[in-house]
Amino acid sequence: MIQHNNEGIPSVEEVLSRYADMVYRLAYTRTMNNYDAEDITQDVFLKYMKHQHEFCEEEHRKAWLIRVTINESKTFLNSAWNRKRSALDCSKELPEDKDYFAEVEDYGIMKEVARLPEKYRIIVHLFYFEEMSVPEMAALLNMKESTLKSLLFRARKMLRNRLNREDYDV
Amino acid sequence: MFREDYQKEISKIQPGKVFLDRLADKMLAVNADMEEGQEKKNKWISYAVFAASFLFVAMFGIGLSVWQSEYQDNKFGQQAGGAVEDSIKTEHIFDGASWYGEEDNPEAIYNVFLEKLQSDEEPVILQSETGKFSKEGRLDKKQSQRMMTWLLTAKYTDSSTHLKQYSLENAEDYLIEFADGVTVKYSIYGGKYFYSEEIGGIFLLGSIEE
Repeated sequence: MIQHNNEGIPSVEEVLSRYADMVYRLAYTRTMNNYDAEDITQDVFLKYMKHQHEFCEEEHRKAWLIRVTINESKTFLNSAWNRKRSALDCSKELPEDKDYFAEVEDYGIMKEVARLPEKYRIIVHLFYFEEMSVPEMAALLNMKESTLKSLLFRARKMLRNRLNREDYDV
Repeated sequence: MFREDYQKEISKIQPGKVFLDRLADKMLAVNADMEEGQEKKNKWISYAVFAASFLFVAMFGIGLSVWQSEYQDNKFGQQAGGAVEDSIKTEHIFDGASWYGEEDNPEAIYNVFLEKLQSDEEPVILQSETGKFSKEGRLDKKQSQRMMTWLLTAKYTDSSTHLKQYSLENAEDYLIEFADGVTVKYSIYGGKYFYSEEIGGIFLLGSIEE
């Protein structure tokens, strides 16, 4: 149970202990990079401080944090700095077998999720980790349920092929 | 099976303690800045209210003494065959509300905003997708009129259904500049919800016929 102060607002420590992991993982799922995920997490929570008085329910607070994290990640990935950095990275002559997701090398499934196109990763994460339903995700991502279902279907198909394990119920 | 394995792996990904401690400090600093700003604003408001009250009493006193002396003059004038004026001119010293006077009441502040809207024939409205406003983003006359009608029909809402929906919508940022130089930044979420940091609260916009 989250503790609130006199104004009904949870303390900074409580908000962080409850939501920091969620925000960080969501940002990581999109950027696949610790430093970028930290930057996005920081931006989200500093923005939250200015809006903390507006939430009357925990569900509302959580939905706001997820939504803002997704938007901040999108802004970050589209930023001129990030595009320039990506262009510089691509201009380097990298060996063909270079593992771009070295940070998740120890993780079998994460590694395959990381190789999915960006738009699928977030859906897989919300569905499998945050355990959100299709209508909840559709509302959150501002998508039609049918579009979301087909994205999820394609993501699962790709994962099934890549993992190549029959015992996996993806 | 996949779900459990994915959850197990991603659970290992978490922010470092040092980062979280630093973040908590930054959040507390933002909070302290906001509270300090609020205190300063409240202090200035109380000074302004005091000054305004003092001015009001002073003006009232002067007005009363002027009226009394005119009344006396008229009395004398009437006695001397002159006419008494039918009414005494009064001046409106205050325009009815102070911009920040009702800080905890978004509806009251929005009403001040509406009064400004109604009294300004053609305020400049700029739209921005980047948060930086320039003259290039200025709405044309038709768009401005549409926006004005929209803002004039907005209703305050604190319904949790609306608040939840509002947080899910994408924002379009606007800045309105009145003839007296007052500017107000606001956002419209999903074409339905109005929010301005200066006003506070969420307002539900009416539907507009194209």
